[in-house]
Amino acid sequence: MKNKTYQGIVLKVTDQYVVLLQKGGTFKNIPIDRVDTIPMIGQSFSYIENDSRRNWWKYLSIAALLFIGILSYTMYSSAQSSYLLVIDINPSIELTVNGSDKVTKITGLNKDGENLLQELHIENKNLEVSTALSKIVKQAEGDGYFENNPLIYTTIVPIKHKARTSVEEIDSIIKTSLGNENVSVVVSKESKEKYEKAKKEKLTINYYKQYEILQEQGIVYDVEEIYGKSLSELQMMRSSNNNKNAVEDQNEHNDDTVETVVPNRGNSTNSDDKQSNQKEEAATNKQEEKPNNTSSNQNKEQSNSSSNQKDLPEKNNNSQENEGLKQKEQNSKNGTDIPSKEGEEQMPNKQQAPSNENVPEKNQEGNASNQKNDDNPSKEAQQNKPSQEENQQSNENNSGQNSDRSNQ
Amino acid sequence: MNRDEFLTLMKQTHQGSQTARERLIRHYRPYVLNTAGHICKRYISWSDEEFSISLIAFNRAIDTFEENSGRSFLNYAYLLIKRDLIDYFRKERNEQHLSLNYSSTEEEHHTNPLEIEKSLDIHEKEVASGELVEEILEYDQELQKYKVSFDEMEDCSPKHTDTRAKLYEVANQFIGDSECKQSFLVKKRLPITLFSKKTGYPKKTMEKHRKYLIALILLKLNPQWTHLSRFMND
Repeated sequence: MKNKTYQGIVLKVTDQYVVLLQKGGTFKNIPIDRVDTIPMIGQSFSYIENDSRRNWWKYLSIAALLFIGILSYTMYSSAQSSYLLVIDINPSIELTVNGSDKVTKITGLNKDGENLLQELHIENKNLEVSTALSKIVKQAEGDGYFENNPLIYTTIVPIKHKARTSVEEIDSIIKTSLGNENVSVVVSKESKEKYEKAKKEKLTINYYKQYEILQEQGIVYDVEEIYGKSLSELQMMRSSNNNKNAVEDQNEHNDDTVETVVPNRGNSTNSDDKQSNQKEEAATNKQEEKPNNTSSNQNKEQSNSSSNQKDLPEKNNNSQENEGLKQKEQNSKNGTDIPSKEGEEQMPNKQQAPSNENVPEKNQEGNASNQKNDDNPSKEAQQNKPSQEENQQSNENNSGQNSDRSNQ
Repeated sequence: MNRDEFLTLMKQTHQGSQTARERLIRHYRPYVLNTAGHICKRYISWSDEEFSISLIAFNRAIDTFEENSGRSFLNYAYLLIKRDLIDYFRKERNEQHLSLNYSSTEEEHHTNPLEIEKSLDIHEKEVASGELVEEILEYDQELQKYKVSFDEMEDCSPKHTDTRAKLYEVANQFIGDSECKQSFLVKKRLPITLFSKKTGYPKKTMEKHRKYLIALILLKLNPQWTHLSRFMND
């Protein structure tokens, strides 16, 4: 900093200043405490302005600037949008939320969304997220959007790192505003990158996520196939595909159980599928290895079938019992054929055994034949005793029930 | 107060005129105050004891001043004030009422009569322009009539050279106008409205630099203040 020199004659000395008259006719007041001697009036005097005073001002101004900077930054950051909320019912709406949980911007992402917002008249009001959400949901409810697709798919996209609102919070807000309406709610969190990607594909992020999953499963190959479909339609596509997959590959089920998206129906079928699938395999293996009814085999089969009975739904069980009864009758009729082969000691066993033994076998066969598209019914028939051929039809009914279930 | 006026006042005082003495003291009071401050190396207000000692010394200077002694009156007064103050300081020190602002080195410095003479010589050089002091005192008194003082000047004096040049012009114009000048001298006010009506010079600018303008006009109205005028016009 440059020190400024003032030179002139002393005009007056007051208790505060020494008044200098400088050449050129300018006056200068010099603070008296900065002068070591009191000059005489009329004396020529020079004064070098020491900049300690100016320094002080400088530091003060810097401090003030910093303060203003910090203040404005905090104000700005609270006003800055902190996360996005993308809601897809079928009307797609995007909420921009700032740091203090106020909605700064609401945009309809499709025509329905825009219409919904127009009806609501909340575009530019500084609402809390919760009130905005509940308003939207209620309006959507009132407009009957839930009748066709009872699904709310919401994604939180954090813009700043410290977006506060959690998935659970949003979930509970939506659920409470729904009331008793039977609508499934899905809330998830996604990165901003994914949001940008979705934007590139001209999909909302919720659609984009569905699209990704569908693409992975090989149902959908192009984005074009997604356009114009509702989320629940996509969901349907997915769940139906899952059932197909269930037969082919068990591993795919794992994906399903994680995403608790679909109403209960889907889940139960899946688990059923698994169970039956396992049994099928186990049973068929046994059949191939030991097709004949030996006593040891019977016992094993018995235990197997009993475990099967436990696992299988009641309906199935009943039908089995019925069949068991039928078989008993048949056995008693045809009695002469079987005991001659197996030996008399095993008779008491036999009365039980065939019934139980056959059921699972036939069951498996029925399923297996289903699976293999009825490749070798004749072969299976050959593997069984001729006396039991009659039962096959009734068992096929049974297995038909089973396969029906799996196809649901 | 020019030389003639000063001499007549002096004569009257010597003859016993209290009013003439009063006028002299009143006129030189700022100077006495300033001298006391200068010697004490701190600001002396007119309620300080140093000031009354200085004033008494000054009074004595009026009594004993001889015009033909070869010294200027201000110089003579300065000498007397200084001696009295030093005596005062010494007495204070003996009585253990040492002034906080008074250092012993300085005291020793002043005890030597030769040094006193020397410092007086330096002082004489400094106030070689005793006339300048006179001018300043008169200027100050004139300004006080217009309720303007030097220490207000900094705020209303223009910072830019071109503005200052402009104001010089305005002052010259003002003096040239007898009506304005008359009003200025009688009413002790700057007739801004009248002047701006006549010249079309914006009132606002004049109002802003009113005090500076008054100072300029006064300076121009008193061309006998040669030192000051030279200073201003540089």
